[in-house]
Amino acid sequence: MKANVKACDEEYYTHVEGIGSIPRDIYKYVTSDPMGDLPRFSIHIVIQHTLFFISFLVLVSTGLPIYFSDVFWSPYVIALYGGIDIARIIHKTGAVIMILASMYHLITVVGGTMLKILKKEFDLKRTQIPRLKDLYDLIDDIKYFLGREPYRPKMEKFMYKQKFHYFAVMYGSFVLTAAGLALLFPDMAAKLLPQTIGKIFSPVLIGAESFAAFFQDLARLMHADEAILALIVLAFWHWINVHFVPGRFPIQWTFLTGRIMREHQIEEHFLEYLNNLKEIPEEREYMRNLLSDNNLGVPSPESGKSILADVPDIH
Amino acid sequence: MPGVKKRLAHPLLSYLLGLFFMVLTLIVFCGVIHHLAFSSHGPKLLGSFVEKYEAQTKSKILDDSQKLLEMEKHNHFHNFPAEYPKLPENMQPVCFICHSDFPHSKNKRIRSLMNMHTQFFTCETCHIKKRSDFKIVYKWHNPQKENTKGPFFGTSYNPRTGRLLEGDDPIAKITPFFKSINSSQNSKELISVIQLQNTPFVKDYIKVSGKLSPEEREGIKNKFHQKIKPKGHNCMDCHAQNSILNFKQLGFSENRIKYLRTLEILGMLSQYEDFYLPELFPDSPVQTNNKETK
Amino acid sequence: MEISKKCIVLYVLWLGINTLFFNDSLAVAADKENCLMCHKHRFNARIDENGRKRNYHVNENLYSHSVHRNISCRDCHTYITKIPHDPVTLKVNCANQCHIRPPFAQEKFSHRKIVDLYKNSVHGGKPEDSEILQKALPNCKFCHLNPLYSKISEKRVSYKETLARCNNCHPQSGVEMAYKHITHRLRKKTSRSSREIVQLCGKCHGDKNLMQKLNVSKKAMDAVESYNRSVHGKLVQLGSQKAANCINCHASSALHDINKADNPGSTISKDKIMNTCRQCHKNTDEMFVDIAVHPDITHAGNPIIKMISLSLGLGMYGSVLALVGLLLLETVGRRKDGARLVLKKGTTWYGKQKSVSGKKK
Repeated sequence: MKANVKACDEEYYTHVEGIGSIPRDIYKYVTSDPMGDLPRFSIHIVIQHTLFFISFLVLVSTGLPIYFSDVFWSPYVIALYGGIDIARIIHKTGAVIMILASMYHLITVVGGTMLKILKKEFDLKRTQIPRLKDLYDLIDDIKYFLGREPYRPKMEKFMYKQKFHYFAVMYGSFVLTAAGLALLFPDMAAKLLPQTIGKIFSPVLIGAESFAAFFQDLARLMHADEAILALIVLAFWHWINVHFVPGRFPIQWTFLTGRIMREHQIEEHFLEYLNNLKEIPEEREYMRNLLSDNNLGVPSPESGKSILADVPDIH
Repeated sequence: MPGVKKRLAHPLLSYLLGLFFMVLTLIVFCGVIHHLAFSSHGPKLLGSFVEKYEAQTKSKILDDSQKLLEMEKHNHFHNFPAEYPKLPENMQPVCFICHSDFPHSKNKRIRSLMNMHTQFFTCETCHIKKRSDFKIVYKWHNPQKENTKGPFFGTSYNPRTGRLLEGDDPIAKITPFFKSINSSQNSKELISVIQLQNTPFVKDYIKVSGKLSPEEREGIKNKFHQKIKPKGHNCMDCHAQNSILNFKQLGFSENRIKYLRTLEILGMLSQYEDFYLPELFPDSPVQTNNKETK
Repeated sequence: MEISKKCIVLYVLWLGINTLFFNDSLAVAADKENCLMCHKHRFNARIDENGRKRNYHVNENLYSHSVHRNISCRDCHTYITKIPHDPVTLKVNCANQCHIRPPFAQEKFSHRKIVDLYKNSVHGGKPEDSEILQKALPNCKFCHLNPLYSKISEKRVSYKETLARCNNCHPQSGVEMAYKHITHRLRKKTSRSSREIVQLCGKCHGDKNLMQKLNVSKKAMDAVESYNRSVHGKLVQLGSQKAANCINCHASSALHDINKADNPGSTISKDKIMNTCRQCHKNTDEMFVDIAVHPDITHAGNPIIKMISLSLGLGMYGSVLALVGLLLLETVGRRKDGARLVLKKGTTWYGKQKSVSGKKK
C-alpha cells in the first residue's frame, strides 16, 4: 500500500529523453535472457575470472589437505592427486596461474583506465572505486529489505557488495601470494627481509626471535587463515549470492558470457541501465516499445499523471 | 512480446553447472561442520560427546592387546608377514575359542614346537579318544571347501630351493574321521570327529554362554571334552616307520615321508633323551625305544 | 597411516610370493645348522605367562632376501650351543663379529663402529642415568628391522636393463645381489619411510607420560606434536619423501650420532645447524636458522602473532556471519518484492506477472 502511495512520487519515474518515463519496478515486466542481454564484463575480465576461479579451486583442494594433514579425509584427497609430491607441484602451478591472472588483471585495469582517460570517457561512477554513495546504498538497501523503503536504491555498475568483494579478493590474493612465496622460499625471504623491512621494527616489538622468524610465523598463519576465509566466503556467500538466490537460480551466466540479464541490471544497477540506454540503440528501442505497448510509462512529464496511478494492483 | 514471456528458459547445461556449485558448497559445508564439531584443529564443539562415546567403548584389555600386537610387529626382526591365511573365526573348530592356535604352554622346552603342529592338523588328530566300534581315518579337511584336493603345505619340497611347497590350500588340516569297523573297505561313510562352531549345540552355547553360571559352564566344557584325551599322541606314534598317519595316502612326497619318519626329527628325538621330559610321562615310548636301541 | 601399513604388509606378502614363484635368482639363507627345521613353521609360537605372543617363526622365503641372509643364525644368537636349545634369556649383541668378511677388508664384519657411535649419542645412555631413563633408551632392534632387498630401477631404465651390461662378464646372480646390496644402501638411507621414522621416534618422544617421567624440557616435550604441525611434518604425514624427517636434521649421514643441541657434536648445535639446513635450503643464513622448525601453535612467546591470529579468527567468523546475514536479509526482502526461485520457464517475479497480464487482457 505504501508502495502505491509512492508510485506517484517523482522517485518512482525516471524520465529518459526519447523513451519516456521508466518506472522503478520495470524489472518485473521486462523480457530477460538467462544468458545475458546487456554487456557487463569484457572478455579479459571473463578470462581472468575463469583463471582465478579454476586456480583457486585447485589451490584450495591441494592446500587444505596439506594444512589439515592429520584429518581423516586429507590422505584421500592427496591420493586423488597422485601423492603429496605431485600435489605440491599442482599447488605451485595453481599459484603461478593465479599470480599471472592477477597481473593480467592489473594490466588490463590500469591500461583500460588510462585509455579511457585519454579518450575522455573515464567515469569514476562506473568503476570499482568505492564512493560514499555505496555506504548510503547499503543503508537504503537494508531499509528496503526491512520494508522501510518502497524501492531499492538506484545503483551503479558495481554495487556496494561487489566493491567489497573485489577489494577483499585483491587484499586476499596479495596476502596469499606474499605469504606463499615466503613459505616456498623461506631462505630467500630471510635473506631479503631483515635488510629492508626488518630494520623498521624493533626486535622487542616482535618477541625474542629475529624478524625473519617473525615473518615466517606470520606467513604460516596468514597463508592458511586467509585461504580458509576466502573459501568460506566464496562457498557460503559468493556462490549462493550469485547463483542460488531467487532470480539467479540455477546459475547466472555472467561469469562466462560477460553479459547480464536485463531484469538484474535494472533491479540492482539501475544507473548503469540508464547508461546502457544511452549507448545501445536496440535497448532504447526495446524499452520504448515495452513502455508504449503496455502503457506502462507516463506519456510525458508535463501531464504529470501516470496511467499506472489508476492501476493500483500492479505494485 | 513483452509482458507475455518474461524470461527465457535456461539451457540444460545451467542445471549441471548449478549442481556443480551446489556440490562444492555442500562439501565445504560438511567440512566446516566437521571442523567445528570434531576436528582437532577446530573448537571441538561436540568433543564432549565424542569423549563420552570413547569412554564407553574403551577397554584396557583391548588397548593392551593392541599395544602388544604392535610391539610384536615392531620388534620382530625376522620378517614374517603380518597376516597368514586363516579360517574366519566363526568357522574354526570349537577348541579354538578357548585354546587359540597356540594351545600348549606347560612343557617349557617343547611348547612352541608342539604348537607348530597346529599348522598341519587339528587338535583331535592327537587328542581324540579311541573307540572300539570305530577306526580312525585321517584326511585333509577344509571346512570352507568340501573334498579339497591338495597339494597341501608341507607335503613336498620345491626341488629348486629345497624349501617346503606352499601348496594350493593353505587352510586345510589333517583331520581324523571315524569309520565304522563293520563297514566295508570301500564304503565312504565317515563321521567327522571335530566339533565345528556351526553345530546347533555350539551355536546355542556361544549365544547363552554369558548367562550361564560358572558351574553350568564347567559342565558344558566337560561335555566338549568328552571325546578328548588330555594327553595327545607321542612323537614316535607318527614320526616312525609304523606311523599312525598314512603319509603316502595323505599326499606326502617320498622324500618328505622319509624326512618325517627318519631323518632329523627321529634323530633328534632319540639323541636327546631328556627331550620329552621323562618325569612327566614316565612311560614315554621315546625313552623306552631309546633304551631298547641302546 | 593404516593405509600405508596395509600397503607395507601387502608389499611384503607380494615380495614373498614373488620370490617364491617368479624370482629367477635363488636366494638361499645361510642355515648350516638347520635351525629352520623347527623355525620355518609359522605356528612355532606360544603365548607366554604375561599374555604376550612369542613368535619364533623365521620366514625363510623373506629372510633369504633380507640384508642378513648370509649370516648364519648362531653368528648373532651366539648363546645357543645345543639343539634343542634352552629357553633364550640373553639378547643379541650387534657389535659381535660375524663370520662374513666384507670385500677389501682384513677383519670379519661387525657393527662395532656404529654401535660405538650409538653408545656416544644421547640414546646410548650414561652410567649415571636414572633407571627409568636407562629402561626407556632404545636398543638396536627397537629401530632396526631386517630390511628386505628390493629391485631399484634407474630412472626410466628397467631393472633388467640396468644390469644388462654387467651380465656380459659377471654371473647374473652374483651381480644382482651385489647391485641390490649397494643400491639398497645408496637409495635407502633408512629402510623405513619418512613417515615410519616419525612414527618410530614418536613411539617414545610422543609418549607424554614417558617424557614427563624423564623430566625433559618443554621443547622436547612438544617435539613430536610441534613437528607434526610444521610444514615438514604435514608433508611427511601425507607420504612425502622429500620433506625433512627427524633424522634428516638430528643426525648426520652416520645416522646414529643423535645428540642434544648443547652438545657441540650435534647436527643442531649452534655451529653446525646452518650446514644442516643447507641440505635443502641452499640460501641459509644466520637469520634463517632462527625460524622455528618446531612451531609453537599457542604463540606464547609472540604476542603480536597471537593477536593477529585472534583477530583473523574473529574477522573470519564476523565477516562470514555478516555477509550471510546480509544475504538472508536480501533474499527475504526480494521475496517480499515478488522474486521467486524459478526452476524452468516463466518470470522471476512470478506473483506480479499475473496481475499485469490479467490487467492487459
